[in-house]
Amino acid sequence: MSEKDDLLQRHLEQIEQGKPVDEVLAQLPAEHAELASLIKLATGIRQARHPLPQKAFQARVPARNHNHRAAPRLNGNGRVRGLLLLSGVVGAAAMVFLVIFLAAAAAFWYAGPHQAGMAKLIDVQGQVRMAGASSDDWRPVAETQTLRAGQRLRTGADSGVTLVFYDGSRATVAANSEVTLQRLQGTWNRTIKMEMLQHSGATFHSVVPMGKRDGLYLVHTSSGTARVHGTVFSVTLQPDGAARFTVERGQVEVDSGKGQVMLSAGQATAVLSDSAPLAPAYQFVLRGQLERSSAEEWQVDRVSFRVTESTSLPGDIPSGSTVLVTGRTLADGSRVADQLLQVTEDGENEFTGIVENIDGDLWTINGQGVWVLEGETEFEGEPGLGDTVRVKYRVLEDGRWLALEIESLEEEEPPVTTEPVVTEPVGTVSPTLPVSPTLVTDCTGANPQPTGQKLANRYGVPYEEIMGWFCQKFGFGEIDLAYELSLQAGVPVEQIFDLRRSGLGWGEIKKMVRDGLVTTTPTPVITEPVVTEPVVTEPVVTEPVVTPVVTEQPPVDPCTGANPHPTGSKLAARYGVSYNEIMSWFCQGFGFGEIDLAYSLSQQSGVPVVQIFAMRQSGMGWGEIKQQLSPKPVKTKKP
Amino acid sequence: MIEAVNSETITRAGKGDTSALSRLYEQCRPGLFRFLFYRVGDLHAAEDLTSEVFLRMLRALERYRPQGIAFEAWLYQIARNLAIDYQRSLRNRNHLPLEEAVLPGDEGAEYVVDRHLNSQVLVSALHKLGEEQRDVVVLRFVSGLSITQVAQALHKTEDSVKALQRRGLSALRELLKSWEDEDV
Repeated sequence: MSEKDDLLQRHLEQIEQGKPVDEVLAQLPAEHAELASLIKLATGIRQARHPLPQKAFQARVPARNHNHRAAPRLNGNGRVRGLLLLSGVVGAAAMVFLVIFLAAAAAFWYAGPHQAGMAKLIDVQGQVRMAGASSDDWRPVAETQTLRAGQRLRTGADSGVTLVFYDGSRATVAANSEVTLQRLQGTWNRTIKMEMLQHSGATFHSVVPMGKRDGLYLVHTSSGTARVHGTVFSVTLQPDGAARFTVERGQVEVDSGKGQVMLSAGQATAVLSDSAPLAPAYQFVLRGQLERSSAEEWQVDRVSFRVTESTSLPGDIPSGSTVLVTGRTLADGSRVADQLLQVTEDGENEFTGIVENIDGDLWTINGQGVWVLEGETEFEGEPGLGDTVRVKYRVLEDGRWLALEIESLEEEEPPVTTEPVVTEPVGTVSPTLPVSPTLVTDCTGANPQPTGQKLANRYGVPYEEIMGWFCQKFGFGEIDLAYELSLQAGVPVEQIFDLRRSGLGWGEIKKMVRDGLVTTTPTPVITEPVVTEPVVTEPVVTEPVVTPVVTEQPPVDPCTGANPHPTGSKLAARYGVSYNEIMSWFCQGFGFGEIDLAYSLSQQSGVPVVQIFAMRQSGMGWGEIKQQLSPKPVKTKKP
Repeated sequence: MIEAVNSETITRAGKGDTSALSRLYEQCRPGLFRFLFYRVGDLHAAEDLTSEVFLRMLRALERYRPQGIAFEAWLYQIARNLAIDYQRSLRNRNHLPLEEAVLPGDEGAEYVVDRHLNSQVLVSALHKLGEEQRDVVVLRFVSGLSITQVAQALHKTEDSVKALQRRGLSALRELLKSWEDEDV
């Protein structure tokens, strides 16, 4: 720590103890006078008007011992009558005003916000010009200027600009690119309908998830169109009209008019003119010296790839040039370059793929072995087996690949809505129907799952117990860590998982366990993990895995609290099922929001609610379940 | 500096005493809310996350043992984890709602570095800082935690928190100055 750090802290402490700022500043040694502005800034931050929770939020908080202000007392009947009369007149006037106001507000709402039809231009760099729909009068744009539907935007060399839409989505137009904003509309609930035609160059998009809202975000090119509902992706149009679509997060549907593909996080496709999009493949990026460029194989940084007719090349590239290669790793493991560019600086190589195996320090990602070493490899998120990841790596002298960074590209589970989707109650199937075993084993994959088996052997617990945690969406790495910590601290493993569920990171849990802050509690807070039945290869129907206990008279149970629980009663009435049925799901650990969602999905899809809960218990997210229950119609090729 | 939470209050709250819970809530809520607001840049999200912190606190309170780590620091650890999870889930957006709305170019030169700082300008400026510097500045000067509490909440030594504090304030000062110069 520097002397300055300590000095600053000492002076700040004096202010915290109530000493006037001027006095404290006067004591600063002359050689450290620059600290005065930091002390003033710290004081300024302390004294600034900081936000407070809104009243509505405060009202939601239960159980507080506030002394409510007493209502004003009225003295005498005459005064009471006078006040009543006055309040009646005021009330009527207020009602008329309210009706007018609501009508105006509705009209205003319907019209949509004015600014939703404009995209703000920020980060304007270099030559960026704008023109009207049918004008060739290209004029330079300035920061914070806006672009409207019909207007065009063009960037020069080493230039770029970002469009910020009303909902917060952003589109960055890279150098040497041209786009037309074909459509831009929005509503007050921050939904936009945006269509952009990309004539040339590259664009990068960060789209705010639209959820259930009726939003639209389309990027057209001469080769194909990208349609998204909340994701991060880019579109690069090559001079020959071929387009490359890459997805960083979320999903993007690419439609060329000859066919469609759905790209997931980490995947890319190329669309040649007048062709169907190529099969989705994972991406790779190489930055380094071109070491070999034969007809069969090219090589950069000891990584080989193919250059095909569809690869975009900037003319002849001599060996030894520094290049940037972007391409796709095909299903057979071979790499195909989509584009090569000559660049001035080399950088990190990267690729995307699925973590297929973790064997100590050696991870296999998309068939490629990558060494993951402590102190060398950084993690972004918590990548685990089966996750889609982006890997930044370096090729070592001996040819091994050393991971510098592994970033999980897995999406967070979509939040479960607490608002009912369907309100009309209909009959629901009793939660005792048989459940297809495949639903339950979806989360386990191979049976026995080798890593699950290994962990079971290592910790001397049943395989089903390990897979139970896995099916609750804990990764094998997490399970391993939890059992190890449990052994070290003599704390039930359930308690470790519970801490993780409470929002603590593994680093903090480790620290708490090692510091003795986690002690054994006589009764674990969470329930036993879901134990799955072994995979049944024969097509036989097994006993249901999830069978809520329904009793005639619900006993007062710690899991239900109030009896009857008001939300439980409400849901039972809404879906026309017994209160006990609802509470039995609740006591199995499902939240009321989840129960609501499950029953509403059951109504919409006709799938028994027990099956929906089994899907959830098998480890599927609610987003996946929704998708599976509402399959989209298969699209056919356009004639 | 915020008033330290009484250990008896924590024990009673852990046993389900509603008045103790209320006291904990009233005492910690403003600081937590502000921390979350400056962390995520969205009032509504900060409100929801503050509620979530207390829900998680309620679930875990029974197991909380006041050994070595201050209760406030423990609570801010939960808040920070929640904020990280929230931001991870919003990574698609790649930015924060308030950030674009409060760029100094839109606001005009209506603030001075050491006076009239408003929360919107502060949000914009803080989000230009590194994550650790931002956490230290917010926890120290907005939430009012001591150096020791911040060190516990962030799992750092007090010395490194002091260093982050000075570097964070310096970076913030330069940032606000440059914005001011641009606007004048």
